[in-house]
Parts: sequence; C-alpha cells; structure tokens
Amino acid sequence: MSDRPALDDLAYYQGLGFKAGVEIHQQLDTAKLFCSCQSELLEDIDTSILRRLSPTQSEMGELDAAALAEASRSLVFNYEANGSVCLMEADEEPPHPVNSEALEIGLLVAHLLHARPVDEVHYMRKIVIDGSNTTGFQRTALFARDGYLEVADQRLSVYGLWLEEDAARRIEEGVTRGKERQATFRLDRLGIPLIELATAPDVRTPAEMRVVAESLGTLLRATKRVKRGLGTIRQDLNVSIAGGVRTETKGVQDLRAIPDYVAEEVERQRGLIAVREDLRARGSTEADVPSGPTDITSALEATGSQVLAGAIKAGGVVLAMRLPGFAGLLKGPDVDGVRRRLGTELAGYAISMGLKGVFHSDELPAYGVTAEEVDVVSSALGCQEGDAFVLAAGPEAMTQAAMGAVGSRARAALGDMHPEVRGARPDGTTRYLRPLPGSARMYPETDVPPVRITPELIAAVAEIPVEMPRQWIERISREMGLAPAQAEQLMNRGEDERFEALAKDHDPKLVGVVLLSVLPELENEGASTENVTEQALVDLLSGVGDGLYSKEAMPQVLGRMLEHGEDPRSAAEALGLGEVSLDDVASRVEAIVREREAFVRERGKGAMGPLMGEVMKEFKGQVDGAELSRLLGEAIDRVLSE
Amino acid sequence: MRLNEEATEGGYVGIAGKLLMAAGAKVGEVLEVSRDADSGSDRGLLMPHHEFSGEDIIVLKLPNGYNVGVQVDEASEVKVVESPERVAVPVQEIPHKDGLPDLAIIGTGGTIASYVDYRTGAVHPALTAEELAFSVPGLADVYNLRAEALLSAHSEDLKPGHWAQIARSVKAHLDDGADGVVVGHGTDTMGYTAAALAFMLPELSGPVVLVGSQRSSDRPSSDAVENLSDACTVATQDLGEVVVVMHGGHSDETGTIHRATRVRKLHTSARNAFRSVNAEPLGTVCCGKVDWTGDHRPRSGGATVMDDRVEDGVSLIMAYPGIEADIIAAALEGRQGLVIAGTGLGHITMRVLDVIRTATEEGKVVAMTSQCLWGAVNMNVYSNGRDLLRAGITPAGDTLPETAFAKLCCLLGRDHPPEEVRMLMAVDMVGELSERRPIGGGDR
Repeated sequence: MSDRPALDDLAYYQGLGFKAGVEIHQQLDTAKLFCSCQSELLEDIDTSILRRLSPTQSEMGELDAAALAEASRSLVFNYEANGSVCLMEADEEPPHPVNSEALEIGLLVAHLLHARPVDEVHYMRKIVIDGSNTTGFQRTALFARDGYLEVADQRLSVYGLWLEEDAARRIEEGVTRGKERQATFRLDRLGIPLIELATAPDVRTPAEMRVVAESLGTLLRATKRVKRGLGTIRQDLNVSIAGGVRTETKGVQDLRAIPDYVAEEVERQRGLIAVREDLRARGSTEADVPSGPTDITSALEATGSQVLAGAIKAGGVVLAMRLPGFAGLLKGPDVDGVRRRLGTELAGYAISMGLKGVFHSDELPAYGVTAEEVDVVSSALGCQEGDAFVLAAGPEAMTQAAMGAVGSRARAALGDMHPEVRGARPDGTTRYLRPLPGSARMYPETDVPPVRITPELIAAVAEIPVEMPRQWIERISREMGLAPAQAEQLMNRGEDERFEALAKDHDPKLVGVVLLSVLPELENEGASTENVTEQALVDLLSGVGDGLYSKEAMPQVLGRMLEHGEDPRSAAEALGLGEVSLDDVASRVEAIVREREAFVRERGKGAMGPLMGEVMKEFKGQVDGAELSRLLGEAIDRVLSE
Repeated sequence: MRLNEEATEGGYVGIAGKLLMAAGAKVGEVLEVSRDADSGSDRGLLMPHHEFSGEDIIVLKLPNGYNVGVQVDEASEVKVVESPERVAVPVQEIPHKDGLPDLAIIGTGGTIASYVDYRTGAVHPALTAEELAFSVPGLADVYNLRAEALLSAHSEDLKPGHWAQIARSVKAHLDDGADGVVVGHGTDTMGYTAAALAFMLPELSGPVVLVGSQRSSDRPSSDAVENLSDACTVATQDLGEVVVVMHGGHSDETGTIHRATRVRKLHTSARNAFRSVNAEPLGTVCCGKVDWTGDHRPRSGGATVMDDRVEDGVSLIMAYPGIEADIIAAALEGRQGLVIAGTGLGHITMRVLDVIRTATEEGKVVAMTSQCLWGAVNMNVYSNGRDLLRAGITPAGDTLPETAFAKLCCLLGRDHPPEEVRMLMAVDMVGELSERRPIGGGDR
C-alpha cells in the first residue's frame, strides 16, 4: 500500500481507465417506511423468531446469481424483535402504504439535487436472501432521476434517487449448529426509511470520492430531517478500471478512509489483470480448470494439520482442485508494485459459502501440512510443473459448495471477472461478500399502492426552507467570527447542529476547538467518542468558563470523563489541575525567564517561542495559554528593558 | 377499471390504454414512451396496469429493473421498439419411484399455489400439477407425487358445491391407491372446506391434509415451503381423518395438526393464524416427524366412504346489537337452514323470535352457536335462551359457527327429515362437538 501513487494523481488514475461513483444510503428521521414503528435501535430483545428463506423458482427458470449464491448455503435466521418491531417487520403483516413524510423528505432532496421526480412511484421487491430482510426482499422505489451535484470544479450527475427500507442489523454471523448454520439479526433497523443516491461513475480520483461523499452527506443533513450518528449514513463505493470489473464496496464507516479503500480496489484489480495476462501467456484456459474438486480425504487421514485433521475427525471431507498454470499467482511476489494474490480471492469465495478458508500450494508446506503431503496431493490431482492446487476441509455439502465457488472464481481469473459486492475490512482492504446482483432480481411489490407525485406536491416541497451548506458556512463565519475553513470543517464533519447548540452559551471559538480538535484528538488516541453526549460537552466547556482548568486541558479532562465516567471537576482534580493563583504563576514565569537571562538577551523577542514551551510544560492545563503568553511576554520585556 | 370500456392486455384504460392500443403494445414488450415534445423519452418493458394506478400512467420496467409510472396525455408518443420472445417453460416430468409413498396433491387455488410471472411480476395461480408439486424443492425426491389442479379460485369465491367436487377428487385418489391426499387451499375459507370434507368423508383409507400459506409462494419467505412439506409428512401417517396443517408459531419450526372440525383462522395475516378451538390440536410436525398428542383417528382399514350431497341453501348470521327480524327473515328466505352465531351462551334478541318460530314450523332448521367461539352454548341459563329453544332453535354445543354451517349444509343435503337434522346438529358426528371441556383446554 505504501508504494501507491498519490490519491489525487489524476494522470495515474486516468491512465488506468478509472471509473468510480458513490452510492449514499441515508436514514431518515421519521417513523418506518411501511409501518408506524419508531425508527430507533434498542438494546433489549423481547422475542425471537426462527426463519428460513428459499430462492423462489421463476416460471422462466431464471434465478439470478445473487439469489443462487445465497441459496447454496443452508442457513437458519434468528430474528430478534423489540419495541421498535411489529408484525410488519416480522413479515407477519402486509406493508402499510408508504410513509408520506419520508417521501416528502425524498422529494426535498430531489429538489436540492435538481432531480426530476417520476410521475408515479412504484415499489419493487429486490430479492435479497442473505437473511437481512425477513421477506427475502428489500422494498425499494426509484422516485427521482437525472439530478446533479456541484462538487469540486464539476457538475456530477446524480442519476437516481431511491426510497427504500433499511435492512435488519446483523448481530451474529453464521454459527454452525449441527448440520445448519444460524445467523442472528435484530429487526429494529429493518424498515427505517433510507434515501439512496447514486452518482454517475464520473469521479476522477480516489481523493475526489471522499469530497463527493462529504458533499452529498452535508446536502442530506441540510434538510434537518435525516438521522445522525454512527451507521445512519452508509457509502457504497463503485470502482472499476479498464480490463477490470465493477465492484461495490460496502461498509466504509469513516469518510476519511474512502480514498484508501478506492485506491486499494484499483490496485487489487490491477493485480487481477496481471494474473490474467500471466495465465493466458502460460496457455491456460477456462476449460482447463476442473469442473469439480477431488476428494482426497483418505490420502490425508494421518495429517498433522489441525485444521484438516479436525475436519476429518468431525466426519467432514478434504477436497482439492488442480489449478492449471496458476503456480506463483496465488501468492506471488509483487512485480513493479503489481500484486499476484489470487489465493485471497479464492479463499473469499470459499468463506462466503461458510468455510473458514482454503489452503493453496503457493503457501504450502505450512499450517501443519508437510512437503510430503503436498506431493501426495499434487500427484493425486495430476499436477504438472507450473500447476497449483487449492484444498479445503469441512462438512461435505458446505465444502462441495465452497469448492464449486472456488472453481468458478478460478475460471473467472482467466475470463471475465465477476462483478462483486465487497465488504470493507478495518485494515483498509476489502473482502468478497457476494456477486453484484443483476436487474433480474427485481419484482413489483404489489402490496404497496403506487403513489402519484402531483405538481402540487412538488411545488409544496420546493417551498420548504433549507439552509444549504454554503449558506450555513457563510452565516456561521459572519455571526460567530469563525474562519470559513473552520465552519466548513464543522459542516463536513457533521458537527454543524451540535456547534450551533453549544455556541449559544459558550465561546464559539472554544466550541470550535472542542469539536474540531479535542474530539478528533481523542479519536486518534483510540478513544470512542461516539457516546459523548451534548451535556458532557456543555460540562466540559463550562469547566473552562468556571476556571476549573484551562482550555488546553480539555482533551485530558474529556478523556478522563469518558474513561472513568467522572464529572469535569473531579476529572480536573484527579489530573491535578486545581486552580493556581495568578501571582504564583507570574513569579514562576519570571523565575524561568531570569534563569535564561543570557539567552533572552541574545534572542530578544525571539526567545518567546522556545520559552513558551518551557512555561507550557510547567503549567499545561492549569493556566490558559493566552494568559501564559501574556505573562511571559511581560517578563521578557522586563529583562530586555533593563 | 370503468365498466363497458375496452381494456388492453395488462388492464390499461383511458388515455394510456388508447395510446398503447394504437401502438399495438403488449405487456412484456419494450416501449419508448415520450411524455411530450419537451421531455425526453423513457424506454422500458411494458408492465401490467396496477389497479390503483392513474389512467394516464404507463408503467415501465426500466433497464435497471425498477418500475416507474410515466404520465401520458394526447401529446405523448408510444412506440414498440422490441418484442422479446417468450421462453417456453420446460415441462418437468415426474417419474414414479418404487418404495416412495404415493401422495396426491390437489390444487384449489389460493396463495399457496400462486406463481409470479418474473417477466412482468404479475402473480397468477399455479395452473398445472407440476407447478404445484415443484413449488417445494426436493419434495418430488421423497414422494411419488400425483398432482391435480382441480380448481383455481380465491377461497372466498368457493361455494358448498366445490366442497363436493374436492371430496370426489379425494376419494378418487385414495381409491386409486394414494397413501394420502394433500389439498392446497386458500386460507380464508380453508376451515369451512376442512369441516365440510370431514362430514362428507366419514371413513377414510388415508389422511386428507388441507394446507395453505399466509405468504405467497412467490416470495423467498413464503410459509408454503414448510407447510407443504409438513402436510406431505402428515399425509403419509396412519391417520384416517381430515386435518389442517399450518405453522404453529411465527417461526419456521413446527407445524400444528388441527382436526378439520375444530380449526379456525384467527389472524388475518400471521403464519400461525390457524388454531384449534375448544379442542387440543392432534399433534405437531417438524422436520419430517410427527408427534401425535391428541386422539387422532387411524386409517379406516377399508375403503373410503363418501357422501357428497350438499345443500347450498343455508345462511350463517352473526347476532349484533340492533339486529332486526328482517335480517333473519332475509337469511331464511328461500333457504333450508340458518346458523346463528349468537352472543354469549347462544342468544339473540327476542325481536327475531317470531321469524325463527315460523321458519322452524315450516321445517327449516335454525342452529345456534356462539360468536365467543370458546365454550359451548347453553340456552337453559337465561329466559331468552329458553324462549329460543321453545321457538324450535337447535343448540349446537361447542361447535364452531363455520363448522355448524358446513355440517348443516351436508345434513340438509342428505334428505333427512328436519327432526333428524336437528337431533344430529346437537350430537357429535366427526369430532366437531364435545360434551366435556377440560380446564385450560384448547390451543388458545
């Protein structure tokens, strides 16, 4: 990752045929979309329901890739219900008519993006059988088209706006229970209205993706009717390069991380293109990849590998597949910064079928698999020079499905890559989740009556007053004396509302410091600032006003408040930040200056900087920095005037 | 849709219908619709008209899969740009395998047997036996299925005559060697049909299992999968009566087996809508195994006995505050019988007493049940009840109103004299009525 070009290197990304767009999913601050439940996530669980989902068989025999991939897993879904859940989310009652308030907010956003509402909104069922929807589909409707966003120096097309149900919260991934796997979801999030916005793939660099996502986020928040906080806005990143394929990366929580994920995806696709070229140069073809795996359980019965032995002991199988000409491409050295790591891709497909992972010949012998065993497997599979193999162990049905998926991925390495949905991992990389679903999985939701978008409704929405981000920044810098750049930072960080609330009773500049440096600083140190209440910030700011500690001490005080649940006064006391008399401080400053009299005379006023450090070290947190600076300046002046 | 107006295929009328007709557009074809000269055009598959959609709206499925309604007027243009060929559905043959149980599946319509047209999204009933049999993956691997699409009706449209039709089909399949019969049925009136079949088929050589679904089988979450496979499990058992098998709870875990004459749909939409009233369920079914907990009747050992005669001139009326004699008179006009779902222990206002007396004197049968559902009628407790008894009304014990209705239809069809019908309405024939109600009994 370190040798990657700059995230805004336009020439580099243009040269690769970079295409990227962002999809934003924003929760609305209303009741749910198709029932009257509150849109609140709760900690408690009142009851649980177990369900299964089956792929529906169409009369045309069509069943698209997404549905198939999920269906090949044998999954039971455990749904937890609480006070934000009714029969509707449990799929025990048909949907109520669409929430008109949510639609109004949607139309407002469409208006702000200059998009054209459709004449009549028709709800669709988007088949999703990973369990995140009790119905097996998500209700979604395209309600406006052809909008645009002025961002950076261009007009970026926002080609569609959708109003849809949020999915259930995944609480636990699939856990194997006997022959089945059980995944747990909580239903309180299911049905919360989401606005989805999708831009055209005209974003030019990874860095620009963040700017676009930020701009769309601030625009949505300008309506004042969307939810705020962790998980209430989600970005999907659509990325491809020439010769690669469109992937959709989900689950990037932090906007600042967007450029890294985008750049990482570009490098991943570069690597896959290189692998494909290598394979073709070696003469491998899709047809050479075996149609199914070989059972090598008996050959490995005495293996010392814990993973393999454990699976065999549990009655499972070890399956292996020859990969013709793949040697060195599964986990090979980077060449000119281009990776050859197909093994990770193959493992991703196996994992999506429920296995923990796979072993492949580029990384063996290892993990308890000996060189002799590698030879045994190679000869059992008929591997030639230059061939690789992949092997996996587990329950038979699951392992068969996993190896089937691995084979299909191996063939795709030689031909057209599969469009994929990928999940963001905290380390900046992504993992395979499922195939990117096609339009074939859309069916009309006949239980929801269509909604006419009348000219009167459009006109009424256009009258709703909205202070756009630009206007807010201008007003705040004017009224509060904040630098426009700071105001803009507040807006982009989504701190605009909190800032205004706090700045009513506290020094706006101090509030700015808290929101733009104290909180981020704590976050950087690894503290979780998600749960910092507005009251805590009020207390923190009041502590400065009351002279309990200086503004420089705010990070320490807040850190202690969070860590120990203390109020600011006890936090300050625990940190030894009690009040000091100004006289004591003045005489100590005087002493420090006197100790360095020669230095002061030599440097004159220039001694101020170095000495300020000394003084701060002594009084940091106890005395306001401006006050210290004043005292120090006076002491220096006294020396110089002598 | 307005009356007497020609509609296109897909149900379009008004200006949208006119434009589509002029363009010769059919559902499933790719159209280009230009709203007017100023706005651009939309291209997409023509979808069927939605009942609540405007008459000036054409519904298109866009290339991204989403449907939108496009408003049109006289200035709009509609062009057919592509007519995709419909792919023929390959017919799946069901080969007979020795050693597997032979089950007959009779389709009568309803949610369990609906199919979605994936091209347009329109839902229609499963028409062929194969569609029904293959609606649950893997079912044909464990049973020899012979499927018959007997009716294709919403269950609210069924009449007593249909019960007889189903009974004849059941008997034919059992006589032809089926080990059991599964009847797919719409849930709204499944309780009525079940009860009627119980009276029409008093001796059964094998199980008759009615089954439905509360979520249509075109959705991944459909309860049809679990219900149908549970029903098949029950249909292989040593059971000689008519039962209903449906979800026992909100979960896809255990099915409950209900006696046909005791079951009632008690929820409009939940999976566990069906409950046994005034009786324990006969058992539960889960993962291919049955746990019998009630007094189910075994196979008769002989041939199936059927009496499919039925009188459809019977009414069912619920007593309500303010009900007047004219309502009861109308319900009895030209009919042979009436079941009243009375209040409490079996009451209705004395204002209707004369009408009832006249009817019973004419040889009509008026039976009394309770709208409480739980518990039996007892018309000896209050003077009102005693007066009704003297007027010739027949108390039906703890029989459910719907079951009493089905029973009366059957009995009146059998040419019994009225006195005999009245006597039979008050006694148990096929488990519909009991003299003893244990404390805490029933699947409440």
